[in-house]
Amino acid sequence: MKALVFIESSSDYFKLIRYAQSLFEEVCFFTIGSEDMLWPDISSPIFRVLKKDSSYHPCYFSKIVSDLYDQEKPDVLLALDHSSNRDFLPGLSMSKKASFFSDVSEVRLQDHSLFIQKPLYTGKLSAQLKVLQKPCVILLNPSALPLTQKYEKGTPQIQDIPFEPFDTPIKKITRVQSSQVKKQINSAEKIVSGGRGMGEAKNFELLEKLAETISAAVGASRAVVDAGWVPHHMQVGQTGTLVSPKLYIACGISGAIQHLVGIQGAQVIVAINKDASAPIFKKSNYGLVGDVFEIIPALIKELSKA
Amino acid sequence: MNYFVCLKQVPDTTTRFQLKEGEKEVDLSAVKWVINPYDEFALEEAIQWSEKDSGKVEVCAVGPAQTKEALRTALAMGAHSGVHVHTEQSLDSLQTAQVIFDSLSEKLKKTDVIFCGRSAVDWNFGAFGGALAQLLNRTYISLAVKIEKKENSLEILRSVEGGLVEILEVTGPVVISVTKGINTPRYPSLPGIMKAKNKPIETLSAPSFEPHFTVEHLSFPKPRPSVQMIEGTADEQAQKLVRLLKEKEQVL
Ligand SMILES: Cc1cc2nc3c(=O)[nH]c(=O)nc-3n(C[C@H](O)[C@H](O)[C@H](O)COP(=O)(O)OP(=O)(O)OC[C@H]3O[C@@H](n4cnc5c(N)ncnc54)[C@H](O)[C@@H]3O)c2cc1C
Repeated sequence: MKALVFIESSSDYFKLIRYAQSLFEEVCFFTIGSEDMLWPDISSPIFRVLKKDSSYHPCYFSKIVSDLYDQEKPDVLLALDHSSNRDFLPGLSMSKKASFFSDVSEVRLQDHSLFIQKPLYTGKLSAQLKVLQKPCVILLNPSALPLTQKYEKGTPQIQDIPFEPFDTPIKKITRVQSSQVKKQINSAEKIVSGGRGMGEAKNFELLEKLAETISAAVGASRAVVDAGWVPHHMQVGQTGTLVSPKLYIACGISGAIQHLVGIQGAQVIVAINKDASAPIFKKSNYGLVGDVFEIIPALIKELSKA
Repeated sequence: MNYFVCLKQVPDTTTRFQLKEGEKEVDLSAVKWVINPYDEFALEEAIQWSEKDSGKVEVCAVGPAQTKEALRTALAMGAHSGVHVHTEQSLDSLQTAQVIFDSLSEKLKKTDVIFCGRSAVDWNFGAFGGALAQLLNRTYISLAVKIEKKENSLEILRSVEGGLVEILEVTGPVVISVTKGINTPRYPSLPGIMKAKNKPIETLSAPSFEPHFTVEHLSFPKPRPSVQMIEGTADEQAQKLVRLLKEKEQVL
């Protein structure tokens, strides 16, 4: 089976390279507009599309990937699941008569058949699907990629593909930061999250500090988003982001069902709450009953010991 | 202007699911059905626009017989007419887009803006809008949180990862998928519900499709091992926790 894999410099792409190589007999990789990116020593073909920069443009990306697709005729087009790939790849699937699968947590090959694992109903169920229609486009959940050992960087053969911008119905794209954000919760391996128990907006600085010591992202419950302490993109849960980090530390969060559905994919959950009967403890691996303002500083101190 | 909204009926998000024997199918017999929350935002947006320019909103849903209830709710909220494309088959996003295109392409071509939700909360494929736009040869803009009409174009704010906002200026016909933050959907009013009874719902039927996949197995997420409470002073708790996370769980 042959896969064409979209590699983006903004992601943890070594993991995706390894994952694709472990699955498919034949793989080729491509990247758009990232000229100075590091590559591991691999013998698979790598195409580098010489767009001026890697920033997303729906019409340019469709055209580029459509051309590569026609050239390589893959059985599977593999990419990460995020806002821009979900923007242009459904249309591309339609035009190539390929089936489309997003929010995929695992891909498996067995007896020349492709199997896909994906959550349903906001993670309340998990489904194993057998793909009947090939070719197919698969968008993998970034947090589902297994950890890999460090790759040695190499000097593989890279084929450059020229690109010329053209006229499109999209006259202008500007990007603005809606607020200061550091790490993003949707792809983070560790998340430190705060709820109403943090007392007030200013105290999220304490969470930032804890997050920094373990390079985690900071998340929040809806109660504090609604209170205006932090922006909505930090909200974890049913109406926020569904996260699946390796470690989730909930600080001063009671554990409402809508919050819990957002973290059921987490590998290890730690809860810090002064109320021993808070529902969050029932869904956690480790529980610490106590005051966040005593425990978080103690944790920062302990973790800084290294 | 004329607006078209595509919506899907999904199980209420607080549903507790049961599996049918064989663990390949969900038992949906006792489920409460609602309009997919993201599609409600799409509907609200279209209604607000139509109220400003006295345009018409048509809603369309593909699905089994009970899908009509979702359309009736949409009409009660303020849509003007509905189309129900009947099928008992469970279709994926691409097939649904194909059905709507095949059954309504003439109508769609006359529509200025087509709205839908970013994804449905049941299967979360999120491919419908992009696929329909492709069939109609329109521009697709996803994840809209604000749409403004300019003289000859639309200015659309897309909310993407990491708190980033993309502002696009687009000309020509579009399909727009919307997400949370764009508006607050209204509840159907009592007069709205009364009026909806007399609004037209056209019924069409969808052809059958070769499935793109089969469901091999459904499962519930693995239950977490029961919680281990860590006691002592704050310093002792911190020490014990860090040791467990490093040595036992290997997540630090
Ligand atoms: C349709 C719908 C969708 C929703 N979607 C979401 C969602 O996506 N995400 C989400 O999070 N919520 C969601 N909610 C809201 C949810 O029901 C809860 O209201 C919310 O999660 C509560 O947030 P909280 O845990 O921060 O606050 P609270 O429930 O007020 O809990 C605060 C906790 O902090 C503890 N505490 C207080 N002081 C301290 C201290 N000094 N030290 C330690 N602990 C302390 C308290 O014991 C308490 O347990 C949704 C609700 C609805 C109806």
